Amino acid sequence: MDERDIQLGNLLAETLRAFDEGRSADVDRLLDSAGDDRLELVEMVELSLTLHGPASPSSEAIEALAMTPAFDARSWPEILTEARHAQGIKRPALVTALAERLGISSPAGEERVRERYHEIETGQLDPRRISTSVVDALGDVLGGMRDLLAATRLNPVGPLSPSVSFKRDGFDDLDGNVMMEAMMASPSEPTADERRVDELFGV
Amino acid sequence: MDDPSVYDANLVRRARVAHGTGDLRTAQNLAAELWLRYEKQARAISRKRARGNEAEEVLGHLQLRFIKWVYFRQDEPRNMIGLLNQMALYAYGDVQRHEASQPVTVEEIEDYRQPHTDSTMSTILDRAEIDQLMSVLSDRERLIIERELADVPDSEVAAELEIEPNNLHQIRWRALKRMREAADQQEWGS
Repeated sequence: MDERDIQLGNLLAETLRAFDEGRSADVDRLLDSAGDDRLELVEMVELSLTLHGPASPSSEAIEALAMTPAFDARSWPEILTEARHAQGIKRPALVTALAERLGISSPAGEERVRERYHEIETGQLDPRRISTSVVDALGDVLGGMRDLLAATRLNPVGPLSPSVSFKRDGFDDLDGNVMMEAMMASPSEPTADERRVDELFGV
Repeated sequence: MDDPSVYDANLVRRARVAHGTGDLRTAQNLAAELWLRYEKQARAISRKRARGNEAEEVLGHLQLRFIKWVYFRQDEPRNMIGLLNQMALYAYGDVQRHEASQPVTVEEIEDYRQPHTDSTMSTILDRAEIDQLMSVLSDRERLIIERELADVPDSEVAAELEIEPNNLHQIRWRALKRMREAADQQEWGS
């Protein structure tokens, strides 16, 4: 018992030092070396850190961290619209590229991708529901935005404004009548690609 | 020095006001400061849920949940350690769902209403409570903990007490165990 307390006391001291120095791999190695007492050692580390109280980070560290994707407070509709406009990508071109990356090749499947993307960009479809493969594909299509999209998909999309909900800019080939006819048409059995798209978008 | 919980609450309130008025840069800085104040504790807490690389993934999801809580929740700020412990449970679920390519659910993101109850640390809010826990220690144990809190190197403390470092570590380990037991009893008694 005494010997074990000495071992665990030494491990605690070493683990806290590794924590202080940001050596995560060493922290994990030291914790694992406690064997069955690992959880107790972690709890002692937590208690020790709690007793020390919160850190006082430098303004440089705060500003550097604040600029990382996790802290971006914008919603997906804002991020996607800004990114698309900044890169001069029209939605039809984006949809074609997105469908290609998702392995959707049929016209019906691509049309379903267009519908679902429109719903995301206008805040009608919650990005929390879509699969990680869509997040990754969209991030690639928009150019190196995987991390940003993954980090911001939990941000609420907020209440929709009427001007956003039904604005379909970027789809020059569509007009209101075409949309209305499509909506009024009797529903048919979805194709395999359409079902696949709905599954990917969490619908 | 300000009470940490008061300072934290002020950061959260200011971040939410900044976010609400569209001053996102200020909101981001305030949320980043709050996270950095507790990042070490969050690293430890994530290791209560998982090991190695998976613990780092839990930490990433924990950070996301924490930031979203700062920006988007309406509830009053409280003990950050207790909050992080509760969020870590959900963050571990996030990792499992991510590995299974399943989306997160709205309920799991927004449900922090139930107070966390299985962490001793949830009861430690301020210096007064720490002092109360330290009352269960012997004079020598208390001195060792106080020196540690003042960041005095172990070699100096061992020399002061004329003991070997191994012995110092053993005494500190036992002292922390007794403090944790005392906190557990306070929690059950409250």
